[in-house]
Amino acid sequence: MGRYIAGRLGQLVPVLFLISVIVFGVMHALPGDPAQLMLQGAEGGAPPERLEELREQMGLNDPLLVQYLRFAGSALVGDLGESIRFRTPVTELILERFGFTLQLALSGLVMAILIGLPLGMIAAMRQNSWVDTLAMSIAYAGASMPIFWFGLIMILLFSFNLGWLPPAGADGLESLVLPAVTLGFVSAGLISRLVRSSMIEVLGEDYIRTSRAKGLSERLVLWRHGLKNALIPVVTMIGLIFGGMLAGAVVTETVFSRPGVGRLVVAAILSKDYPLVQGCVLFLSVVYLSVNLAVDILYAWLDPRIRYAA
Amino acid sequence: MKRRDFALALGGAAAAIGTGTAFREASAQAPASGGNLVIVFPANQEPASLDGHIDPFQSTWLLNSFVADPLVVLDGDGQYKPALALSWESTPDGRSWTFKLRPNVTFQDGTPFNAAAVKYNVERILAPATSSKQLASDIGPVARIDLIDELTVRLNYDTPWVTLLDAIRRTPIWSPAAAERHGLQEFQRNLVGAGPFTLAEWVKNDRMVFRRWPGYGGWNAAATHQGPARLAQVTIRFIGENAVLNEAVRANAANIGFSLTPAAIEIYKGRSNFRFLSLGQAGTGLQQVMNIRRPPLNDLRVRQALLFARDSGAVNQLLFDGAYIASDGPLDNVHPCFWPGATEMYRTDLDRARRLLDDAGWRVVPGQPIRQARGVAGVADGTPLRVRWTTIHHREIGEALQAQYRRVGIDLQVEQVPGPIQLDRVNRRDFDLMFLRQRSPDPLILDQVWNSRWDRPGGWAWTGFADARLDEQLNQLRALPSADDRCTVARRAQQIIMENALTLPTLSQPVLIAQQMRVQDFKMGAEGNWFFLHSTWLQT
Amino acid sequence: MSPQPPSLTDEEVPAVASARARAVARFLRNRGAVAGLVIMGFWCLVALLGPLVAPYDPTDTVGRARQPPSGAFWLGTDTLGRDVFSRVLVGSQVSLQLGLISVGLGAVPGVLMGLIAGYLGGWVDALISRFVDAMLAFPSILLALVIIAALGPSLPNVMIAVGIGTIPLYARLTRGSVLGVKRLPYVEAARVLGNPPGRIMLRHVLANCYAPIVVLSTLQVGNAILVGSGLSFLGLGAQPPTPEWGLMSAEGRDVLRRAWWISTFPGIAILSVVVACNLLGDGLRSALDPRMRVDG
Repeated sequence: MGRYIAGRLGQLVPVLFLISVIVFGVMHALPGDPAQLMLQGAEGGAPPERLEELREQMGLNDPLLVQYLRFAGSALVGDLGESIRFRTPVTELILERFGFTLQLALSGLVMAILIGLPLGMIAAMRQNSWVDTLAMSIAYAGASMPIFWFGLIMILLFSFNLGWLPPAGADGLESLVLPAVTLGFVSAGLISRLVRSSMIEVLGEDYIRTSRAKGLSERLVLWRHGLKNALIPVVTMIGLIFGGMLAGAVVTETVFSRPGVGRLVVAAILSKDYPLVQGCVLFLSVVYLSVNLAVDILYAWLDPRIRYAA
Repeated sequence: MKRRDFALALGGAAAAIGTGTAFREASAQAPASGGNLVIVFPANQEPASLDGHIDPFQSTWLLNSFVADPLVVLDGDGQYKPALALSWESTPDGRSWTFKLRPNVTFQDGTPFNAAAVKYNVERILAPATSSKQLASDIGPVARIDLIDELTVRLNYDTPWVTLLDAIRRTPIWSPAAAERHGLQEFQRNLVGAGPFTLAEWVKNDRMVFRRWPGYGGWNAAATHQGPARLAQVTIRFIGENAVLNEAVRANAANIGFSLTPAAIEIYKGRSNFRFLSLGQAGTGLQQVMNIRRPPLNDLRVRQALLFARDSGAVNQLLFDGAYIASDGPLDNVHPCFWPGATEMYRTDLDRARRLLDDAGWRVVPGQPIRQARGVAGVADGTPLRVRWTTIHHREIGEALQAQYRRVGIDLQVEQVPGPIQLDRVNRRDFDLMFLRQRSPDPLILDQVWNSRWDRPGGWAWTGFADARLDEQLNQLRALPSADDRCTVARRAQQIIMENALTLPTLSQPVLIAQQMRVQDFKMGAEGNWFFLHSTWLQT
Repeated sequence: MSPQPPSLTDEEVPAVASARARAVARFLRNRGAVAGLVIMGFWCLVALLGPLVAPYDPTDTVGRARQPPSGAFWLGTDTLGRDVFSRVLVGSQVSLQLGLISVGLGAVPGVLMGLIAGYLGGWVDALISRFVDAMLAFPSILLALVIIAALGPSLPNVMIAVGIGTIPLYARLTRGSVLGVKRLPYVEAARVLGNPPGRIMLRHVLANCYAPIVVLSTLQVGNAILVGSGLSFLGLGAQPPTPEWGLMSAEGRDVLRRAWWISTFPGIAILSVVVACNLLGDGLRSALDPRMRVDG
């Protein structure tokens, strides 16, 4: 087991390296002077002497390789630089907000399972009936829906028209419902299709035959068996789904005015705050990789065959 | 907050456009103590740093004013009134300002407020380490600060600086002890001033919570009563979606909606259970200054054609249902020093615009909607008449004008860019029409934008126009102490600017505020973007 | 995972013809797939005719702003008084372009990389595979955000960003298919006969494993439109006055309550196109080889 973990960790290193190179390289190959950006006010200017001073201070006159090493080195110890706009360490800005994003991603995941699982099960049980078609149509719709649009519809219906739930903010559980549903519904489509096909495969003909012949208790047993197996592909896909949550969080946080890293990174891009963009992307990548790693390890622990296949 | 019901009898809430509200005393009920006032702000007004010495945003200084009283305040009638300073005077040339401070004032950490504290604050703002983005240039080049006695401080300048009060009214006075202890970075989380509230919580991108400071002495002319604030708590929520922002007050999720978008007018105006204010912001309005260094705008006739071909009133109707305020010149129509001649000079006249363009060599080509050059100096024949409109917000104004300009054969290309890009373009002088908006009731903003000596990196004079006559008028703006004289000079300057068609004024953005009737004693400043909560209370 | 595509030896051509016919029949029996085809066909037609079919100029103010749907303006007018229906119709051009160009930008390099890695093997394969694995471990939305941050918000940049993000998908898929096809007798014969590797790769290998690529591309068109409209909604993609569906939804947000049609109809359009792509892609997959896996 330990060797498996070590092996997977080892695989992470080149990936992290590549990501850091891409993020650094892309951001530095551009026009726009970070020093000038730092000194600009909302309605003000920057004298040339201050500019030169600041460039020296920020190390912008060093060769690109040196800048990269400095960047990578600091990143390894958790220093992601300073935001131009906020004049605060990037790490601090991210940590202030990451809790909210995590909250949203996890509740989105829960919602996705809460919606997708029953949907897939019902579709499998009533395979090829109109229930199946309806359920799968909903699944397709969910997977094809633009998240921002769905979020706006949710706000329109449940906040503006019905007044049941708050449309914005991060104040308590109430304000989490609509964003979580919005985020979860899209992945619910994927989950429901997985569950359906998995259950159909497992239960197969036996189920149809049995349900007609035997009584309720037999059916329940088969049901539970089917459900357990249905969850397996879902678990394998959790890493992917979590990535989808992160992607969706960017839009969801904006539509619902929630604090979070997604909203932070969009604002950073729009205001050309390069250190902040770099830091956020790097951070989110590490999170995503960690989650995938954790899922893989968990799965390997549950199913020893995987360890040796690697 | 959600389910309580407040009935209110409110006296005369006037939606006076331009000069702020005339606020009458509240109703018969005695002011209640306690309560949580919830105000929704647009998310883009959330400060990056809460230290007003560093951060250059109006909203930052406003939020600071809850925690730290300034030396003077600008009240609803446009008069400077005492706060932490009891009186002040300056020498006629504006080189020396003396402030007599209020006695028996302490900061929220118990340390005393005195002349040394004022000196500390001014020095902190001007220190290079602080990198104050705006306040430092507003306060100006202070040469020397004298501590005359415990409660008297004098600021001395080498050049005349008549506009100090406009800066001082926005300047938060922090406790020197607290500022020293926490350092530049940390202080914004531990703000200590001498204002009615303390900062209890700031959840970034979500809300700010202020709590009453029991030790506040009511030492501010904006307060209508002595002693601590009536409200127990003030919560500011930052909302990113404008639709949600506008609905907040109606949905009882907030008591006050601040800086709403024009879509809010339909929701609140004329409703008897809400107060709705539309207040002007004196300044330059939303204007696009012209780069006269290169074609097509290097020709006066083309610039004038742009002015004649626009119909700002129609744009106002289309986009904002007429809610925005007219701005016909380098200063908007609600500015105290506005030159009325600007409105007359360029009334919409499409025929005149077309004639001017013909004269300038931009001809209509049969079958083509856009004019082409014929014998224009420096331009190849056949080049289409294309003008670039660059702005950082309100691009819909540009788009509405795009349609208007097509009628006379001009191809207006509208682009919206973020702030840093705008500054980059400005520095490289790479633009045709560039967005500019300054907000201040003081005509000094004309000098910043139109005096050719500021035509340099970091300066605000972008057009490339240099004229001795104009500079002469503008230079006086810094030296004349009398407000009336300055207005006269400002008007002359505006006339020169408009005669040379150097800028394209569009409209002026009002501040839209909606309140529930239960809010009492909510005091607006002279500018729509300022208010005082010192005596505000919620009726139960 | 490698599919079993139809082979192309001479004796088997008639078999192929009927294999194709069977695939088409399977496809046509799948109601979902046919529905997808019809919807896509509709949108392609609209995209081609677009401006000709639209009742009004999509960038012109033709009426009062924020009018509800009526006889004159079937889907109402937007915040600048433009006809929403016309904008939705012309927006299909923008969206389909977005989908197709993004896919092209991803497929061409991706397939080439996969071909080379799979066919040549050895250290070339190891290098490319390492690179592809690393790219796949990186969430594509983040890559898109970094590229947009670098190049600036615009629709072409969104196409580039989304396209680049799909390169590893194509690379891995193609490589897997190639590995399966490499050892077929037909390919071996071609090599023995002295054909240059390039020719073998393109004419013989690729011709045998195009099916998963086609399916993936169909699905990715829908995905590109989803991501692209999301980025435009955030202000990172198409800029006004382009009638892009995501951007149109964003423009209607401020007046969501009282002029809901401005944001709603473009969203429905996106939904229909993406559903059609998904149905079509799944239908192709079922018809060509139900065991095919395109997400590896």
